[in-house]
Amino acid sequence: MVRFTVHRLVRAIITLVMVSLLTFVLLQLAPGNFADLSAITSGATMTAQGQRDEVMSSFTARYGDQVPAWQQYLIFMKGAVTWDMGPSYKYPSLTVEGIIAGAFPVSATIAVLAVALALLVAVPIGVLAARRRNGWLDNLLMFLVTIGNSVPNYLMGAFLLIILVGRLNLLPSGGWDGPLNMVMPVIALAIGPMAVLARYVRSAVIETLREEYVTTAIAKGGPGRTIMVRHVLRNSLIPVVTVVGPIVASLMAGTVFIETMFRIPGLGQYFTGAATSRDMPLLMGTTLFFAALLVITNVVVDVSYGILDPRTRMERRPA
Amino acid sequence: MTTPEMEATIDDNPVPESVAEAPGGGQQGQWRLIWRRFTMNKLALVSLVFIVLLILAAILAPLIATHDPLYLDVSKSLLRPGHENHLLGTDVLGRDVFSRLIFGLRTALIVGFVAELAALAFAILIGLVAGYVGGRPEQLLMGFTDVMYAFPGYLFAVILVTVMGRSVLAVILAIAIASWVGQARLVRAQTLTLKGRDFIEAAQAMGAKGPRVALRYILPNAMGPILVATSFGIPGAIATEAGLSLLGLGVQPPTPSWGSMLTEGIAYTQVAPHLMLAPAILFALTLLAFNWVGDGIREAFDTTGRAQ
Repeated sequence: MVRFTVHRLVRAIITLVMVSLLTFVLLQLAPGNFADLSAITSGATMTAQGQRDEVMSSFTARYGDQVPAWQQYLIFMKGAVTWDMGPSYKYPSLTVEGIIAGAFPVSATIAVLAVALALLVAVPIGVLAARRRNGWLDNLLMFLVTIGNSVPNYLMGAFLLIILVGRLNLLPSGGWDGPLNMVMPVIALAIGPMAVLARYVRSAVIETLREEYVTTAIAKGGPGRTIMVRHVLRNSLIPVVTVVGPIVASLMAGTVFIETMFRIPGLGQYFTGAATSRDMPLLMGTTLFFAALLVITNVVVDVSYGILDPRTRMERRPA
Repeated sequence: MTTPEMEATIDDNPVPESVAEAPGGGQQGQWRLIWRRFTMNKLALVSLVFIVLLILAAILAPLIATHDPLYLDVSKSLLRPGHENHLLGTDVLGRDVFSRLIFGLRTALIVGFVAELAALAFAILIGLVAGYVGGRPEQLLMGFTDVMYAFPGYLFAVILVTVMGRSVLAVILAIAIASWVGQARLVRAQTLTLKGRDFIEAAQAMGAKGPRVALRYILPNAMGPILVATSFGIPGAIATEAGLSLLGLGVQPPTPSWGSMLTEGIAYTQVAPHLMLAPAILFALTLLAFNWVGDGIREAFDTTGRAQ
């Protein structure tokens, strides 16, 4: 078990190094650097000139003058490991770790709420569909699940905007000032996982219903609802719980479009801004943070699978 | 749904050519059978017809569009649908929404099909080699898989687009590069299962060399899952392009893209909801149609009977 965990951790670290290298190399290949781009976009005004000089001096203070790219990479990675990534180019008064610490809770909040909402809806739907297997209700629910599964979250967001803001004028169209701002982003984000989870719960319940202990419980004549909750649901939810972790992680990294659409100051917005302005430290920082989030969740899930089910321990689980 | 005889025919006849016993060529027979099973799914059939119509509309876009999609006339800003010969009204710059929608369809389908085909070509090459030969190519693929798991496709696509610029070609390439890994894994898995089958061994015993076995015996038999993946990959690519446009990183304006049409509409949800509604509806229908066709293909190839 310990060997398995260490093995997975080593692979996780290699993966993260690969992701950081890939991002860094791509950024080196990109035409134009931060200084050129900001000169173009801001028309080289006096203030921008000042800001650019500030950025350049903070860059040379951290990375030295005329350093080769590989050395910049190593200096950045050293900073990433020690959680001290220095100032962002685009926001010179803020450090990269400060931006992440400030913006990540925003993304995490809507992601966690979305998954909670998804579970709240998906579990009853899955159970209902499983009980009415192949009936009209099951068919209808699974039809809706297909729709939820094939429409991307920002398109859901568009429909919500049209109905809730355009038609009914119930909610603010965007921003991040209060709980009302969360309603549409959370619903839009929840639909996809809801569909995935509903399908998952349905097949898990169908599987459990075939178990002999369920037949026994029914034969003993207990009330249907008790059997459903105590015997079926409880055992069906174990595999479901293991998929929730990766879903939360991928949602935290997947709020990019929704954040832009609803003007939410989350990590996805900073990531996009960093990519377009060639803000190397911020782009590297956010990318690595997203990657670490996904990789760590994956390791935790793998290891907990190993604890729950010894058969899977040494097997290579497909990602 | 299907008679046991039909399933038996497919199961017993996985060899598309030469070895097939069926009179009149096994390959044609098998595909006809799959087509017949596909047409039994009415939703999939209707979706396929819809997609064909979309493709026609995209090809004939200059004829169907009532206006020049790029022509702007600020005096006609934000007209309601049906006003002054504008079927779906105009946007804030006075451009015809219907014409932009049709040309946006063109962008979406070009990006969707080309990006998916590029990703697929790469996936088949790497997947076949990794599955059939193993060794280095396999390690490479699995390494890539690990990296891509930690690097979600759309984040990767955002970085690639900023590197390669925002021409249609760059966007297509970015989407293809960001999405081939999953499909390569699928091809590899198919290759691995097929590799051990008797008819492959028979072909090898009769002296067929590696590339011939891979291309003529393994690939045709892996077509089912590959086709399914393709029909889900195309809407995936379309959605990624629209997402990039939403961030201002997709196909560059003024070229119409559904993603940028959605963004442009956000500010006017109350005064002119049609700006978002029109692209949102056509976009959703397009994605659904591809997904339903994918479901149909999966069922048509599924010889184990209906999934639970």
